[in-house]
Amino acid sequence: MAIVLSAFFFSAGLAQASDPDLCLACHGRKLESGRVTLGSLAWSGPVEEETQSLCPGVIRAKQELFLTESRLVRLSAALVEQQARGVRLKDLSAELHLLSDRYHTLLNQPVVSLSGMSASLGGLRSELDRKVQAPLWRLGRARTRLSWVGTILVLFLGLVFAALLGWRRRLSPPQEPLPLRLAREGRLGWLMEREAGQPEDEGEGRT
Amino acid sequence: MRRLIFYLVLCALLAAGCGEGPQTASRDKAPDLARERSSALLVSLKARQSRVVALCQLAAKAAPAFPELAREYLDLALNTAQSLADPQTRDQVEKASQRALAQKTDEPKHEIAEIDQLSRAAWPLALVARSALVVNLELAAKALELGLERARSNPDPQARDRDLAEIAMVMGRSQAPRARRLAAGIISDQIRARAWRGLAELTRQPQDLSEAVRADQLIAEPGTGALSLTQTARQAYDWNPEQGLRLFRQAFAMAGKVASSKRRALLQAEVAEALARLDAKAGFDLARKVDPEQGVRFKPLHTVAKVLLASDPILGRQVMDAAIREAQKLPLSYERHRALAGLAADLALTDQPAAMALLEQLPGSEYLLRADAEAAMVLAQAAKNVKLAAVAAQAIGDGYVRLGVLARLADIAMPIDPAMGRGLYRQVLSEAARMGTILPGRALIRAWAALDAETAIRLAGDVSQPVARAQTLVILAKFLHESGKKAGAEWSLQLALEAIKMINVQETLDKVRLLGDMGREWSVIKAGQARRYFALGAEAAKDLG
Repeated sequence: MAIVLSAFFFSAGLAQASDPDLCLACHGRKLESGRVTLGSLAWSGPVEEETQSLCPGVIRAKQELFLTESRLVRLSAALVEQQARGVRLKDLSAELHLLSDRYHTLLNQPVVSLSGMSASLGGLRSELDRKVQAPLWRLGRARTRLSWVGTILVLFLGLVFAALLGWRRRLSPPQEPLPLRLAREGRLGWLMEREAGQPEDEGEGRT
Repeated sequence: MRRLIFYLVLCALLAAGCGEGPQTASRDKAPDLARERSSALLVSLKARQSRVVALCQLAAKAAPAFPELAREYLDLALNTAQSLADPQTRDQVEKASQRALAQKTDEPKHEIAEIDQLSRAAWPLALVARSALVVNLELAAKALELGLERARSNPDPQARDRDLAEIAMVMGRSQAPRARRLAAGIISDQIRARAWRGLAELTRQPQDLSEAVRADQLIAEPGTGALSLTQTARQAYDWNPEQGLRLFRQAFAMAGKVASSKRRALLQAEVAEALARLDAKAGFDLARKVDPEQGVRFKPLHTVAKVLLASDPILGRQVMDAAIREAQKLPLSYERHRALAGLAADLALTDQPAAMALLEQLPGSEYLLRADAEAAMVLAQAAKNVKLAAVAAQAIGDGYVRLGVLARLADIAMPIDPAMGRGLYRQVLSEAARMGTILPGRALIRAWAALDAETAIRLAGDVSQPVARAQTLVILAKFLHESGKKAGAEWSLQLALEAIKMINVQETLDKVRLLGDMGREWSVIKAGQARRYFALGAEAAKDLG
């Protein structure tokens, strides 16, 4: 869906290449009061429908607002998700709230030109990328890396433990042949009698 | 030996690298210079257009109190607009075009086409004429003639028609028959329709609107035709609802001729929505005929429901349920949630449980989308119990909206319970200072001024962005002046001027706008000071280009 929307936005952008930049070029009569704000062009229906407009400025505003607001929403959801996993993101959260406030103030600004509108909303998006999205990705990557390192460490420790066990077994003194041990314990006679086929109960009686 | 060979190879590589730099630079030097000249010309032309806009806006603000200043600014604006196509600039444009033709890539050619159109644009002259109609008719007539001449000599048919339409819409104020002849000569059907609509608005003559309809019907692409006819229908509805309805239905039928089913549905929904704003029931009839494809009907149904909730609550509620069903069909989760939040905000006044149920479908993390609905619910509650509303307001996730709502609750509480009102104002101020946020202007200014003018000015001076800071300080100054705190007002204005000086070059239009606002506001208080603000604005405008 994102690819389809990007393609749609791109083609719409190309169509606007020859249009004048300043809104006054076509809307001199309506913009005399300077009361048209970005907020008055905020989302009110599917963006594909809203960009069916005759005015390239309205199309651009709808696209820019869609891209900016959806990114703000997506990032706030991502932050909450990370916080639910126990990651502490207070700074990023504060940064996102500040940028949300800036978005609100931009909505109150009058619309003057296509490039000005794109620059202010595009600037906000790039700040969102730099101050929130990039640190969030870095954090995600660091966590993935950490879990890999942890897994490798556990495997390594397991291997070391197994190797140590094996080594210790090899280090323990070779066991003496049974007859010698029994002789040292004074039980060799019992073995010999047993091997000679004496009844078991007698054997038991001896012990 | 090996080390020696290594160092020798390294030295050779370094020498090769050093030697290549200047060679490459000298090879690229000629095209780069040409490119730089074109870019400088482009920037200069854009800046001159902005200067015309800034001076015209300044003149409009100065005209009621200082007509002589307005005339001076318009003279300057006219000179600037003329300079866009003076022989020297045209010569530069010609040279740049020749250089671009010699290049093989399309990029500079595109830039040159833009430069060419900027220098041929006649709308700045139309803008000067429009602004001068109030203070200097002679200058207006001169600007119109120059504009007409320039527009007619433009070889780009689209740009020429666009400029002719703007000129016709200015000319219609003083020379309607001539403006009609001009509008009739516009080749593009879509632009001609726009010119006739503009003329009809000025002349209030039904035949002008009929010409607009005729032009709309000639537009070859049915989608564009439908949208253009919708605009004409909207205008016609104000004069004659029956004729307007008929035109809306024609536009809907025209949109039905679009080949792509998706686009057809989108366009028909747009037509239905435009009608719903004027006549909810007729809009509902059209909305029901739109193909139910992926929530396309949401927008018209939402508008119908909003209008009907006030006039016919039972039908309004039914349409609202249909709009909710349409919202659920939207394929993108952001849009689905945005739509549900909007519906919840509308339902907050009439059906709080239903609004809550809708909000529950949105994740808590999407505070930005939830904020308006939450604010609407709190404010609806404030009519019954301000204290409970104040408690509920603390749960609004979006800080900016929360502060705005708390300030409004404080306004409501002040006459009933001043202690509570002041407490809320205090909370708003401390929270705003703690968050270091850009403050929602007017609402907070009341809070500051109600508590302490000095704190108010200090906090307004702490707003980080210069444009927002200046704007806040200007409003605060006016408020303080009206409350009799003249010293505070002066101080606030001084800080506003400091903030304006810090506005960067890219925002010069904002700078001029703010100085113009200051001049207009102060023209009734202190004429000398107001003149100074206008003069500063004109200086800033001159810096453009």
